[in-house]
Parts: sequence; C-alpha cells; structure tokens
Amino acid sequence: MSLHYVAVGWNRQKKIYDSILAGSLTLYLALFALLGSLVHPNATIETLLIRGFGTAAFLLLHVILCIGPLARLDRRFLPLLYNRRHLGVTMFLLALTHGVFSIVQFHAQGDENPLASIFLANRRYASLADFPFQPLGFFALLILFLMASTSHDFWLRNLTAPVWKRLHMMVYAAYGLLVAHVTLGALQSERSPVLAVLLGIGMACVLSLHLAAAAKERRVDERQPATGGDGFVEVCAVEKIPLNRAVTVSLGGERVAVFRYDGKVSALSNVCQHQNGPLGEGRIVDGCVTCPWHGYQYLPDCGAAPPPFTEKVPTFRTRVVDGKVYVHPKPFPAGTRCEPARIDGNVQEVAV
Amino acid sequence: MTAAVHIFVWAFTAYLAAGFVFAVLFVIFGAQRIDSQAPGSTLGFRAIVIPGATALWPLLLARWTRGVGDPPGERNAHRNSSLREV
Repeated sequence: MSLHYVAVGWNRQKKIYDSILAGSLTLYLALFALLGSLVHPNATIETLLIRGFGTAAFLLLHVILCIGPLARLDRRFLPLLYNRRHLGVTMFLLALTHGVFSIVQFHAQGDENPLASIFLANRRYASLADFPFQPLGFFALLILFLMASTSHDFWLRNLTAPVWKRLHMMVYAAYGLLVAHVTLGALQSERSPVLAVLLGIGMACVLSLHLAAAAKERRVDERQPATGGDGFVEVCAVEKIPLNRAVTVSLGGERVAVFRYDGKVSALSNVCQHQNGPLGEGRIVDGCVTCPWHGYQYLPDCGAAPPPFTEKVPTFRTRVVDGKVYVHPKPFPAGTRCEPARIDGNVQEVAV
Repeated sequence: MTAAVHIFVWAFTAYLAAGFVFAVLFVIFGAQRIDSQAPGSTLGFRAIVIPGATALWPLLLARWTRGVGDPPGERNAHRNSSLREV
C-alpha cells in the first residue's frame, strides 16, 4: 500500500524472490548453452541464445500459469503469488530477447522490412507441416508486451482491477499461440521426442491444475444459504469461523467474507480493491482484514483501509442468533461502517 | 498479401511512434492530471509507465483531454448493488 507511485515497491521478500529468479535463470541459460554446445556442436552461439531464451520464457510461462491454481488449491503456494508480476515481466523480457535475436538472425539480412519479413518470408499458410510459425510468436509477444507494460499499480488503478484482470487473462491466448508456435516450429525439425513429451507434460500440468482449482471454486459457490423472512441469510455456526479468519459465502453475485474477531462478527465483500484478491482467505492482522495476495488492509467494521490509505470495499449487516451467523445480502457502499454483531458466550475454537 | 502486410507494418509502426511521443509528454505533464497518486511520484515510476502509455495512448489521451481528475471507480456485483436503492 502506498500513497505515491514508485517504480518498484521493493521489500525484503521481493528482493529474495527476485534474487532466486535471477539466479535460477542465469543457471538455466548457462546449462542450456553448455549442454546445447555438447549435443549440437555445429550450432552457432546465436542459435543457442535464441533457443535458450525462448525455452526459458516458455518454461517460466508454465510456472506463472500454474501459480494461480496452485495457490487456490493450497495456501502454501501463496508466497509465489505475491510477486508473480515480476515473473511476468521477466518472462516478457526473455521472450523479447528471443524475438529480437530471431528477427536479427532470420529477417534483418534482406531487402524486406524485418517486421514485414516475419509474415512474408514463408507464405505456406495452407500447409500444416510448413506453416509460418513466426507470426504466431510475434502476436504472442505483442500480448505479453501489453501485459508486462501494464503490470504497474498505476495501470491497475487507472484501468480498475476488473478491467485489468480481463486484460491480463489474455495470457491464455498468448499461451495458445506459443504452443502453436513451438509445435509448428521447433517440434517440426526435432527428431528426438523429448521436446514433444516435455510440451505435453507442461500442457497437462497447466490444464489439470486449472480444472482442479475451478472444481474447488465451484463447490464454494454452489452452497446456497437459507434465507430468513427478514432478508438475512444463515451463513454458518459461529464456531465454524476460525478466530481472526473468515468463512466465505456467495451472496448477490459475488462472495462475502464473514470474519470473527474480538468477540464480534463483520462481513465484507470478498474482493480486494487492489487486485481483486480473496479477502476471505486472509487474516485479521493488527486489527485489519489483510489480503493474502499483497497485504492490502481494511478495517473489518467499515471496509475502509486505515488512514491515510484510501481503498474501500462494500460492507454487510451481520447478526448472531443462537450461535448462528446471519448476513444481509444487500451491500452498503464501500467504506460504510456496519455495527459488528456481538457474540454472546464462549466459542469453541477450531483448528485452522 | 504483400500489400496488406506492408499496410499493417506501417500502421503498427506509426501507432507505436505516435504513442511513444505521447507517452513522454504524458509522464511529464499528464499523469498527475488524471491520477491523484501520481504527483510527487518518482522518476523511475514515470519511466516504467512509458511502455504502457505507448501501447494504450488513445485511452490516456481521451482521459487527459476530458480533464478527468482521478481514475474511474471499480465496478463489480457488490459495488453496483450497493449503489442501487432498495
């Protein structure tokens, strides 16, 4: 959380994260060049660099695509999500290096404009075996550029999180284009099945993790709470909400996070204003609901970030009757204070 | 096909060139006009916004010329519902 923009909001965790990333990529590229020169002694250094940066970018894209569903399935992966935007920008820079080297190597020597040459050098668009795969990589790189260049919080705030997220969902289009780029390109000239098997494993991982995460999310949203005559809906027994944590319930087309803390219950819209992270999967830290993705904080009774910050989320009326928690599905405007429901008596704590 | 590709490449290059010129002006003069968090921001922030402003310059130009003082409010089911009368 910040009142003014900075280029990169460095902190200790981000520095560790980025150091591991830089070290891993350096090691990967060095090993790729070493092994590549041993397996393909006739390959030029330019070719090894093009392949090395291309495979590193594609591998990192798989990691990036797997982090989201992994974090949905198991909270232990949440730290990887924290700095995923740095992974995305790094992946774009690797892909850009691959693209620039390829254009210089294959399209900059003739009379044709190098960009036009990408589309015109091979015109066998009707052939599957000889399909011009480079335009696919070009369009994928354009999408990755759009995503990397809008990754800063300035864009998140100015496009608003829902629009920003839809823009960044284009990563799946880029992934599809890159799978076709690799399948119609590198795989066509490859005699060993290793690359094809690795690509198959990568696609299977991405697909299966997304399906598993989607199934888990669907189960949460399918739970239909019972509605009482006064409009309040029953959410759960008080003891089902762990202390300083939340239970989520789908109400009014979106999830509501119902928190228990200090003998009280408050309900907020589950959608963090920063990057639409799931507030209900966060905890109450220092008296504030804390988003598990990037640590944005909100006061539980009013859904507003503590001053001087300005983020706000809608709030809901709550009530506790006979040990059961009820929430009214009509939200109040973001930042509106709602009197928390008091819990009478002791609550048997559940292990988290 | 050759003509279509050349038109595409020309339009693409022209769009990015115009966008880059706009982006430089925007980060110097425009960012603080459309976003209250931009005044007082670092030089690094302004440099890092240039590629995105180059890509999305029509959007920023429209907002800048309309004199919008702050980003639009977020819309989702709860926020929309909270603003409707019962």
